[in-house]
Amino acid sequence: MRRFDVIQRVVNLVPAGTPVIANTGDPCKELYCARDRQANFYMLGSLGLASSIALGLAIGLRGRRKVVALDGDGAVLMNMGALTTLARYGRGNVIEVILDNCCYGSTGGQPTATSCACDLAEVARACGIRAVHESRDMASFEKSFLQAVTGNEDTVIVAYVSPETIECDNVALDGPEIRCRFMAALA
Amino acid sequence: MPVETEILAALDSVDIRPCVTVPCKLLAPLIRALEMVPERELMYVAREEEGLGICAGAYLAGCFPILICQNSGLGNLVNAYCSLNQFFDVPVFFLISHRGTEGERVAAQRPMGRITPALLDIMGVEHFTLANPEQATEIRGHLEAYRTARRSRALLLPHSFWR
Repeated sequence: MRRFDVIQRVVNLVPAGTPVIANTGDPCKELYCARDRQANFYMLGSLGLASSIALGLAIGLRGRRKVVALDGDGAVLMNMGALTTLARYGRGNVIEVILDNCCYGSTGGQPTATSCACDLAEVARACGIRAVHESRDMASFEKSFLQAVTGNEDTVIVAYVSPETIECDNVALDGPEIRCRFMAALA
Repeated sequence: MPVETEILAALDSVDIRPCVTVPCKLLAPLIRALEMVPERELMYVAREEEGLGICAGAYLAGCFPILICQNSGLGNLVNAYCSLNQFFDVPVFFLISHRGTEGERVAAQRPMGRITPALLDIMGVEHFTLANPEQATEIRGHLEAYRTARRSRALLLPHSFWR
């Protein structure tokens, strides 16, 4: 399955107003292309912090709505400690989707550790996350995602995707613009 | 009044939450005090830049969070500060124990201690040093300024503050 298709499915399945945080690089562009909306936060820098921003939102919103992070394998490897923090302090409303394409797709496809023996679902479990799902096709992803949306547990879904990227435009918004409309969508 | 009591009262009065931390020995009494106040939502994080991400998320949700860490941790968050906080105009308040200052016993703390104020300058973070415990009363005003102006600010608390 392609990462773009997963991102598109996520953005079409989430309840209106659900914040969605996109990881640095291509995931930002693909989310923008799949469906631009106010509650999308295009995290154009700070590789690794999508799940941390999602947890901060979850804490700030006091668990009132779901928060989705569209993360990547390279990003999770960079900020792996964040999974331990999510397990420790999560309020049951974070959905951390790890789009694992086994490479640093935005920088030329160099292999990450998940291309070898590293298993991020096992990592998430070992960090203390109880709801961990793995998806290799869209039907199973959709089932896991909907379960996370309707459930009350912080959830990690590792979606194994191909390294394929699609042609799409850069996010045509500046930082403060992204932040202002995002905050307006949450208010 | 012990400085940690003063700081806690200031955090309460300005409703600062969550309080995100990577601990420091100098900060230990404050962190212990924070553990007793659930409203301040103390969170331990594995690394300072992760803490910055959590603070950014909390700010986007309408909170005014604080990152409480040692100055050594500033080096771990520089890129996140520039590409997240600066780029999106998301402020954060730093309460930083300033190691490597006079009275430091760990020699390895000195190099980072020396560059800390200049590092904050180059990051564009307005910073203030509270050199003695009597200055703890000023913290409330700094927190209010952060909330009102929605601008990042750092307080450096050297050994002399904690004596």
